[in-house]
Formats: sequence, C-alpha cells, structure tokens
Amino acid sequence: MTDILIVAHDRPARPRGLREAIGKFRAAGCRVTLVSAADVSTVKQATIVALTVPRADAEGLWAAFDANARARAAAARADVIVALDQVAVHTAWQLSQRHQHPAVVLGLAPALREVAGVKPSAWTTWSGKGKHVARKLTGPRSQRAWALRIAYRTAITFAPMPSRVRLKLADRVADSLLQVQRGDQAARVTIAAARALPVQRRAGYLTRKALQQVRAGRVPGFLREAVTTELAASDRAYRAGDALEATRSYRRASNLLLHRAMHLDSLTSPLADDPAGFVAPLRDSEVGRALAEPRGRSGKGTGGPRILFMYFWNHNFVDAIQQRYEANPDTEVRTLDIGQDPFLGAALRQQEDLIRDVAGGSRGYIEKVEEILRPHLEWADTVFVDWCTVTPAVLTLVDPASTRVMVRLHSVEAFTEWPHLIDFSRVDDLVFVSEHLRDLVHRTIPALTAAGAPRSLVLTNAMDLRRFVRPKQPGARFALGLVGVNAVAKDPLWGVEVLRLLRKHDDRYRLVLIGDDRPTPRTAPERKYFQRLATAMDELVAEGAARRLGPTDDVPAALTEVGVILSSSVRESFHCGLAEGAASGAVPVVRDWPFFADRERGARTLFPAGWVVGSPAEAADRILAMTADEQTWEREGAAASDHAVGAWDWSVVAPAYDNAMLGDGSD
Amino acid sequence: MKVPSGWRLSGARRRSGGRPHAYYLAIGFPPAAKSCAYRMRETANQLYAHGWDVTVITIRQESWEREFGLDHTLSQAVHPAIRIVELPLVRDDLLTDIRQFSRERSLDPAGWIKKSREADLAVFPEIVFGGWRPVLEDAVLWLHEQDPADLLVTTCVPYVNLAATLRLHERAGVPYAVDFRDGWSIDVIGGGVAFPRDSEAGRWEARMMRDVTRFWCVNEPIAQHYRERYPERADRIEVVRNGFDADSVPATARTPDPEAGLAFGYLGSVNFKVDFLTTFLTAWRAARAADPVVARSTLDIRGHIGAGSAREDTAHVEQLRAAAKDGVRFGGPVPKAEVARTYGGWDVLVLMLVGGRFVTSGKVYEVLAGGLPVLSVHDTDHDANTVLEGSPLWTGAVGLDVERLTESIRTAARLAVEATAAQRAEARRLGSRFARAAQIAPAVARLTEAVGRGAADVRKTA
Repeated sequence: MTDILIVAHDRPARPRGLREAIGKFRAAGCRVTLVSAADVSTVKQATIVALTVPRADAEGLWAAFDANARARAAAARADVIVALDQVAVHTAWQLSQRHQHPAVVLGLAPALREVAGVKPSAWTTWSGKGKHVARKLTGPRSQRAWALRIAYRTAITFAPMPSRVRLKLADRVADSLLQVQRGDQAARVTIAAARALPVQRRAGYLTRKALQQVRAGRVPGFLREAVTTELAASDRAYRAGDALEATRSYRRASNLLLHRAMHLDSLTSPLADDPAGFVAPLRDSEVGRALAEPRGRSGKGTGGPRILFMYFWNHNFVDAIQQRYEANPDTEVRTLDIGQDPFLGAALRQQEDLIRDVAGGSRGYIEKVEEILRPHLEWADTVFVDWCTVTPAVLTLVDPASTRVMVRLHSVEAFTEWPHLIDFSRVDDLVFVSEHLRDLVHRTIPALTAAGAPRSLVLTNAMDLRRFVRPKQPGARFALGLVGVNAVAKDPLWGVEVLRLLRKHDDRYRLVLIGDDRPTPRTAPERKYFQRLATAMDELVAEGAARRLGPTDDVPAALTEVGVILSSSVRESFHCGLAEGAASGAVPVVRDWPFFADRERGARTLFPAGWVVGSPAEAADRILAMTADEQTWEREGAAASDHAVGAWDWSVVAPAYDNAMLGDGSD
Repeated sequence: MKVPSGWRLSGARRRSGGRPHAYYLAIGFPPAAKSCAYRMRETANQLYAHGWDVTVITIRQESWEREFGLDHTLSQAVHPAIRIVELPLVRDDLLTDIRQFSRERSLDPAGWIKKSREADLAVFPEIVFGGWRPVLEDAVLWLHEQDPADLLVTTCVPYVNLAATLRLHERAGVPYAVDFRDGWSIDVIGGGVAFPRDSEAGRWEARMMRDVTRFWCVNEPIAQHYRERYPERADRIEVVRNGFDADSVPATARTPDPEAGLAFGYLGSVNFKVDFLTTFLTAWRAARAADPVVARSTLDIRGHIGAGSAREDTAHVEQLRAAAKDGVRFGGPVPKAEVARTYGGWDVLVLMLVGGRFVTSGKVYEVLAGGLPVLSVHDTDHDANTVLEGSPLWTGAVGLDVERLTESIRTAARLAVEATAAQRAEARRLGSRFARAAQIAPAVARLTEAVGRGAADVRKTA
C-alpha cells in the first residue's frame, strides 16, 4: 500500500483536478490523506485531517500541522508528500527534513508521476508480518547484543547484496545504534556501507547521512570521513578540469563541516576545540588551495579622506562610526549595501559561482563583480567592510589597487565558511572587537599570521553608553537582566538556572528578558533549545518570577528595571548588551564564556576581575553578595557604570578609530 | 572528445577532415517535447545535408522533464551523423522536488522565484534564462577549443544564447547566423516594440545584428520590423517559415458521420489565456444548443498544458474538466509519431492561436496540409490568414466574439459534412507549398554560401 499525504493551506483552486488526482491515486492502490487548513468538504475519497491555523502563513501552517497527532502520523507513514499550494510548501519541506523516505513534491502532477514510477520489488517492499519482523530484527533492542552488532557490520561490509539493500540495512542498523547511544559504532556501520559502494557514489551517501545527523543536532562520528571523501571527489574533478563539479563537491564539504546547526545553534562547537585541525581538510583540498592562493594587488592601500562603508544588509554596528566621519569636515563618506544591489544581493546564493571563478574554472562572475565594484573602489581611499562574510568575499575578488581595505570580524563569522573565501592579500587591516576572537581566527586561518597577512587590529565596538546612565526603578536590585537572547549561543537557560538557585534563598529575585526570546528557528537544535526556553519561561512568568519585555527600541529605559546584568553566553566577541547593562548601573555577572575559558584570553581578560564567574553557583553567590543590601548594590553598580563608560564609551574608543581609519593605526 | 562531468555527448564521432564544422546552439532540440523542436531538427538535418558536420548544443534531457517532458519519437528523424552535447542547465523555477528547496524558498516560493528572476536579469536581460549566461559562454568557448567551429548557428529563445554566440564570435572570430523565429524587440502578441534600442536588451540585439551573417524569422511582418530597425542589415534578414512535416499529415481523411456526430480536435500547446478558452467553450456550448450535428459532436483538446508543478493542473484543465458534459475531452500531449494518426481521427481541425499580425504559428501549416476543414479561433488580423487564404475548407477568422464564433463552429461542421473530394485535394495542394524542408533548405543553402564554406568545399575535398 502506497500512502499519499496531501498538504493544503488554501481552499483547492481546482477542486475537480484534486478529485480526479485522488481518484487516480486510489485506482493505483494508494491510500490518500488530505491535511488541510481550508474547507475541503467536497473531497470525499480521502481521509481528511482538518487543521486550525491561528496564523495564516507558512510557519503557522507548519506549527498547526506539527501540533496535530493525526497529521504527524500521516506524515510518518507517507510514501509521497504533496504540497498543494504555495503556503503548504514549507510544511512539506519541514517534513522532508524529518522523514528521509518519502518523495516530497510540489503539485499533483509530479505526485502522479511519482506514483506511476513506484515499482514494488521484493527488496524494497516489505509488507505485513515480514516488514514487522525485519524492523524488529534491526531495531534498537537488537543492537544491545554484541554478537548481532558484529553480525550486522560483517554483513554490511562483506555480504553480497544490491547496494539499495545494503544502504537500507546500514541506515536502519545505524539509526538503532544511535538510539542506544552507540554513536561510534553507528559511524562504523555507515562508513562500512559507504566503502562497499562504487567510489563515485560514496561521497554523496556519506554527505547525505552526515547532514541528516547534523541537522538533527548531532556531530556524526563519521564527519571527517564524509568531508574528506567529498573533498577527494572534488580533487578528482578539479584535476580532471571540471571546475564546476569540483566546486560543488567543495561546497558540499564546507557546508557540512561548518553547518550552523553544529557551530552556531549548539552550546558547543567542534571547531572551538581545535580550530586549525578542524578546517584543515578544506584548506588542504585542491579547491581550498586555489582559494587560499593570494591573488595579489596592483598597489598598496594608502587610505585617505574618502571612506566607503560596505555591508550586506546589517549596518547595526557601523552606524555610529559612519556618523562620526559624516560629521567630520575632513572626510567624505559613502555607503554601499551590497544586499540592495540587484546582482550582488544574490551573492549568498551565488557562492558556487564565486568559488568556481576563483578556482580557475571561469571568469564570468568575477567580471560582473568587477564591473559593479570598480567605480566604488576608484572613488574610495578607504573601504570599511563590516562583518567578515559575503561582503569581503565579494570585494576581494577585485583588485583594490591603492584603496585601503579594512574588514571587521565580530564573532559568528569565525564559525562559517566565509573567512575561507576571502583573499586576505587584498585586505590591509583585519579589525577584531576583542583579542580572544583575534586569537581564535588566527588559529583557524594560519595564513593570517604568515608573512604578507593583513595587519590585525583590536578595536572595541562603537557604543554610546552615556545614554544608558539613568536612575533605577524601585525594586530593580532583585531583577536579573539579559539583553538579546535570540541565539542559542546566548544560552539564556544558564540565566534561568542562576535564577532558580537565587530563588531558593529569596523569592524576590526575578529574570527580565529584553529582546526576542522566540526567534524563528532555522535548524532542529535551535528549535529544540528555544522550545526548552519557552517552557521554562512560561513556568517562571506564571509564578511571577520572570518578565518578557520583548524587542524594544528603548533599551536604556528597559534597563532601568534591571539591577544585575548577566552575560550567560557560551561565546561572545564583546557582548555589547552586557556593557550597556553595566553602564546603566546594573551589577555585571559574566559567565566565563566556555568557548574561550581554557584559552589564554577570554571573558576573564576582557572584564575586571570579579565580574566573571565559572558556574551558576558562583554567579548566584556573587549576586547574593552584591545585592545583599541597597548600599552595596548601588555602590557596585556605580563602579561598574564608571568602568563601562570610562573604558568603552564611543567618546573614549573613537580616537582609536580615528587613528586606525585616518592615521596609520599604530599605537 | 571527453566532455566535462555533468555534460552528455551523444551521436557519431566527429569525422576528421572533409566537412567544415557547425555548432548549432538549439536549446529545445529533440527529444525535448516542445513545438520548436521540429524546426530545430530540420535545421540541423539541413545543415548536415548542405555539407556541414553538425554538433548541436542543448541542455540535459532531464531538464525537460520539469517542463513539457520528452518525446523520443522526435529524435528518430535526427540524422545519425549529428552529435548532441547536453549541458547541465536546468530551470530552477520549475523544480518540484521540495527536498531540493532551501528553507528560504520553502517559506516563500513566489518570493524566491522573484528574487531569482531579478538575479537572472542582472546577468543578462532575460528572466528565467539570464543566469545561464556564464555556463553557455564557457561551454561554447571550451567546445571551440576542443573542436574548432567554422560556423555557429543560434536559435532563440532563449535569448541568452546570444551572449554565448557573441562571446565566441568576438573571442575567436567564428561567423554566426541567428534563427530569431519570433524576434525579440517586437512584441508579437501585443504588437509594437518590446524594448527601445538603448535598453540593455536593445544593445544586445544591436550587437548581434552588427556582424550576423544571416538572420531568420518566421514571417514577413517580423522581418519588416527588423528591416526598419536595422536598415543597414536588411539584406541579411530573411523569412524562413515554419512549415509542416510530411509525417505529421494524415494520408487519408476519415468520412464524417453527421448522425453519430463529428470529431472536432485541437492539437498544440495551450499557451493562451483562460479567458480565451472560456470564450471558445461558451461558443461551443451555444453551437451545440443551436445545431443538432454539433450537439452530437465531440471536441478533443490535445497538447501540453502547464509546466513544473502546474503540469496539467491549471485553470485551463479545470475548465476542460467542467466541460466534459459538453463533449469536451482533454487527452494530454501527443508524441510526434502519433500526430498524423491523431489528425486522422478528427473531422474538423480547430486552430486556436494567440496574437495577431506578427504571429503565424507552426500549427497552421500542419492544419492546412491536413486537408480537413479548419475552424479559426483567433484575431481577424492574424498572420495565419496569409497561409489559410484561398482554402475552400477554411471558416475564415471571425475574431473572438462569442456569437460569431458560434456561427463559425456551425460553418465548420457544415464544411466537414459537405466537403467534396476536390475541395479536400485543393486544401492539401495549398498546404503542400509549406513543407518544412522546402522552407529551411533554401535558407541553409544561402547561409552556407554566405559563409563561403560547406558543401562546395566538401565537394572540392572529396
């Protein structure tokens, strides 16, 4: 029996067509379930699951679908999933991430073709009791017996059988091993199955399997094997002169190795432990070497009064700097948001073209970029690029000649593929906002410390901290504040734990979240984290122990009700939210950011001694001490405010910027 | 020749020496199930017949699966000595496999396509295909490096082919001819100029016209537009009509049976608007109400409707389904090998066409040569009239007025019942002037002569 799941948001535009298609599915022996947010009462030949969708958009439909047990069950058994309209596409896509087996298509015609193409065979169609027995024999319980584990791995490695069957068996056994927490053995099974495949299919299989695990929030035990196999395929294509295929394989490898689910949406990152070793396979590949090859420039960056600020949409951190030079009569300022350029705006999607051109396969992309950027470079004496991602990758495709190029790296970029796509021989100054980030990036990209590397500068973020100095509201002493909590790396649950410890002593303590604590998740680990946070916050809010202030344009006002400012993050470059809180007179409590805790520099070298704590218990102790009475709290808060404004306010930091932007940047 | 990974090469090996080498950039070449495939097939065959060794450049067969699919019967009549290089290009906008969507695309499919089209335009002024420019340019340069070209013949659409054509010409001096079919700077549907000369598309077209060896289009009004726009190239512009393929025309006509009812039929891509179909179906119902013969008759619609996720799932199909009780049936596309038999099963051929005096269509030649009564459903001022004029079995064009169309349908029924053998023979005779080979062969001969290579040189070296 083939199961068809049709997902619809809108009332079917062509009800006769839908009825006819369902009739054809049934005639082909299929069972049809229609999950719909609209009235489909005219459809009689399918099992109908009606959804109530509070928010009439793609994510609203998915949320309603995911909350409906009958809909989830239909998805779990489906062989073909059909999105009937545009809004339903996202739900189908989400299901495609969750279920690896079914075909997932847009429209009835492709679904009918899928059904027509299904050819049941003895190997692929287990039915009734046979299927049940086979599932049991390979299920999690079977993997607890060592003899069976060895038997399966031996069979997968050596037994003659069609590839389809070998892979299906390997996938099933590996899934079961993962369920019983035997990730290393699951990896060995997957590797064994891959090695039994013809060489040209290995990379595809391993990459696909690895991505499934990464997206689910795991670091697969065969990650390195998958990456090196994919890069070997890239190298073969490169040596055969096929730059397009070499580029595609390289991108698959780099996207896997630096997948956001593993580095950004997780509380740990395998890159942080061994930055150089982790990305070494990329660097050592043929395409990686071609990318790392300095393309050089025809002049030396000299700088001057005409400054071009470049970025890709996000200009949050550059506005203050830009305004300073706009107000300076000796400088002339222009901005270029490449996100708004009709061609460069698509640069995120054109990463493949960029790599292919650099790796020597073509010139079309570089020529177009040159055509767009050349007039800007001819005008500018200095280009200041914010965020070390797509903008400098595109900019350094072009010879800057005598224009000075400054690129600022915040934090998140260090965990992406972008720094590996930048030609640093065309960058004069690489600006970091803290020393520990500079250390991490230097460890990740050894070329940055080699001869000919750009100069590394450390310049604090431009923050107007004076506007945060305001009187506190009554009762602020017991309010712990977190500013900006829309990323897993901010780990607000650490703050929740601190609060729980405090409330054992005094139930006047409460938590205030400033910013969006319910962001739209991009990966499964991110979704799971924020679901946990939502559950915890809902409980705290219900008992009056927490408040969600949500996104606000007036953070200084919001901070007047905060008496203790937390930095709960696992990694930060500087943490502007903490500096703002400290400036407001809240007592700072900074987690020793785990990504850097074991390194020479980190939170402990950035902030005054005493602000930084090693655990929630230490945090609770510090807070209890600092808020023991009104006088102590006010005194400590005032000291923190003095330090923050005196060390990091823009009026203090700006001369260093002037020196870097207009002078030679030396101390 | 070993082609890069992702490409596919099929057909005979290149001969050494002898024939000069022509590349034919023809995206839509058989087995793509597209109406342009017939003209492309004949052009390639005629190039070979005129002494050229021919390598066709098109895109991967799998790509057509996303559009109208494949018709392998079309490939049967491609000369076996012609090689075909397929490039790994696909239309991303027609992707129906949601697993291949990004999250961003899944959240807003229409917005994603809009952005993608904007990106296409940044590369070349043509939506959907503009982004293919770098791959096409690289491909022709690479092929020329491997196996040099003496001529490049390019057919549009897509117009992005021009970028690759000019790149090869400007880089390596390879002469080129362009089969522009319906033109570019002319709006063949609405009439008038599609874009000014100083627009980006206008500059590309002018650049193409500067060195073009021969320039073909499908009818005189389009040719006239180009002669007026580029008077300095008027001598290189020629009309190469579409014509019909002999194997698409039924050998004999069936005998109509007015007692049982007649079989009306339309074969072709359904590329007209829904309103157009509504108008015709309204007239069809009115004719059935007024005429007992039509009331007993059926109307078959065959051909491609919709592409990608909307393949055979459009408002047109929904209308046709709703008209089932009025004797209307939609039977999907017809393989090329089945075209003659399909026509042979009908008594009246319906000719539904968009546009006006700049559109002739390819179907009109086939329909006329069939020797059956032709029911015109199109504008009164349509270039198809110039082909059908004089046929004793033509209803004439009455425009898209429901009442007049109703009468026209009744006239067609009457013609079918009353047509004499002499009238049928006369219609066939008129149609036979437009055999496809007779249209394309002289044009290829003139091109060969203009390039100064080809058959004459082959004869010298033979």
